Amino acid sequence: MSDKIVRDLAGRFGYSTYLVDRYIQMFGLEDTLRLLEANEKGLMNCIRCNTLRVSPDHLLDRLENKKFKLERIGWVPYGFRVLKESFSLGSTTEYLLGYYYIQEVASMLPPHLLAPQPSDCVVDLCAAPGGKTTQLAQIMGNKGVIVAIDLNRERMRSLRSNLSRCGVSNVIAYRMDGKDLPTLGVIADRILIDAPCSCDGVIPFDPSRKKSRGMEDIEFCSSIQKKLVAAAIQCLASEGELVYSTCSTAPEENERIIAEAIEKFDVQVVDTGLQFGDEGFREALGVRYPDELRLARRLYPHKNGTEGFFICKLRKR
Amino acid sequence: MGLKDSLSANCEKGEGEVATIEFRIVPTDQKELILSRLDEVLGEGVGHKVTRNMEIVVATGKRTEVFLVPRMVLDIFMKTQGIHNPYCLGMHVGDLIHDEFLLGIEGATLCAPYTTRKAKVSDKGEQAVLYGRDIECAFIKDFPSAIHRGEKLLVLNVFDETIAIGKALVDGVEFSTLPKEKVAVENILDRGWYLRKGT
Repeated sequence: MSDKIVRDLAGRFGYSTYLVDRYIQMFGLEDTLRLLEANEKGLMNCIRCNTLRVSPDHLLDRLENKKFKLERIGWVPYGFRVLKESFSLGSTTEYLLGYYYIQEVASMLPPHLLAPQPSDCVVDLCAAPGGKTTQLAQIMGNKGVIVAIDLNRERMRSLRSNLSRCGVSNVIAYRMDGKDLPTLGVIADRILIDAPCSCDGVIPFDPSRKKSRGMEDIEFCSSIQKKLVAAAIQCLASEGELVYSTCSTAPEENERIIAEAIEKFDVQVVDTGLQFGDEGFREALGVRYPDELRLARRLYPHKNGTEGFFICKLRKR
Repeated sequence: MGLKDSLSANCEKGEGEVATIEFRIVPTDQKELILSRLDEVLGEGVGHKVTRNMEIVVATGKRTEVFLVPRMVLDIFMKTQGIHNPYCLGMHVGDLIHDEFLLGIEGATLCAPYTTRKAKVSDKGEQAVLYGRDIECAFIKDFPSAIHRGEKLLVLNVFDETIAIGKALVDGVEFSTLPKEKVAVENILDRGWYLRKGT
């Protein structure tokens, strides 16, 4: 693609040229344009009903009585898109009662696909501020145990507050580096890694990401992600399952991480069962990835109405 | 600050950090104190009902935090004790300060089905409570007749949901005779905390 087109698009939409150049190489010009346009429109707020506290029907009634307009998300029975907000979603009595969590639709996917059972020991490796942890807890009916790990001091405070607000009691949280998970000596039935990433998928919510991250950030995140996955696989029980996700579109943070995991460790990619989303890349930016990556899923604002998202499920043999 | 700097800063904070909070299964004398204080505040037997099938873990630092912990969570806690100190576990239900047990908002929610010491407020009262305000008689729909000035009580909204912990500023028997603008309940802790300070 000519430098002029890249520069024009980057200038028109306010992106780094390197990012637009990568988008065009990965998605082609037409899809890149649609992605950039969709990012400008932003995304609808979504909420997840906390079924530990209240049923989705009851929550719907309560919020509609307050003039909110909600629409059910088809694939998750407790998720709603918020079509109309009569006031701030984070200040309703129902929010303060822990009846819902404000959570982007794509980020409801990892706990849903991990499908933990009430008797499981589950590790949430990058847990704060707690959206996915509280979702795991509700899927498990507050039974079993979730080991929630994060390093960020401020976000740990939010995690604790959200666990409390949502009435979660089956969590033990540690402020530690996820790479040190093996030192805990815990063997998990299931592990969730919503990895720290360069986050270009959240541009619809945070336009500063159009320019604030560079290739060095992608490589830096990639190095952390590899270590997190290695630590997690070491602590996963035989036949245990791991869901890996990021809100980055960069294959270096997604397909490359999974490709290295299946090469180095005794794990296989398994079907997510998702009926939507694009298949993971088998080839991108001049790099080939194993055919198993077709079972991973990529979501985009212009195709799925979600933030940019990658998700893949692994099973330990 | 770039992404690398930001993540590195977090790592640096994690290194060499001295754990100042000690988590341990509650000693018998502290457990009896917690249960008896719950009974005193909310009624006979409330402590045992709320803690049924749960273990109690206390975390002692600047204050002593009290957590109700299910068995599987306790197993992980025991397994990792001495390796890593948890940040939190189970459900925080309150704090022990000297010989007093201060009920937290989620502890209050757990206790609500077992106590009659509850005041119910109107929709307008709910909004005032969630802004951290004390409660005037005009906003109170039900007030327990057996309550005495200075005693604690739970504050519920019209849906019987626990929204605050308060202290009665009047006796229950005199409540119906008081002027509407009289403040009857001091707001000790309310769910608006999650918005004001929680995250």
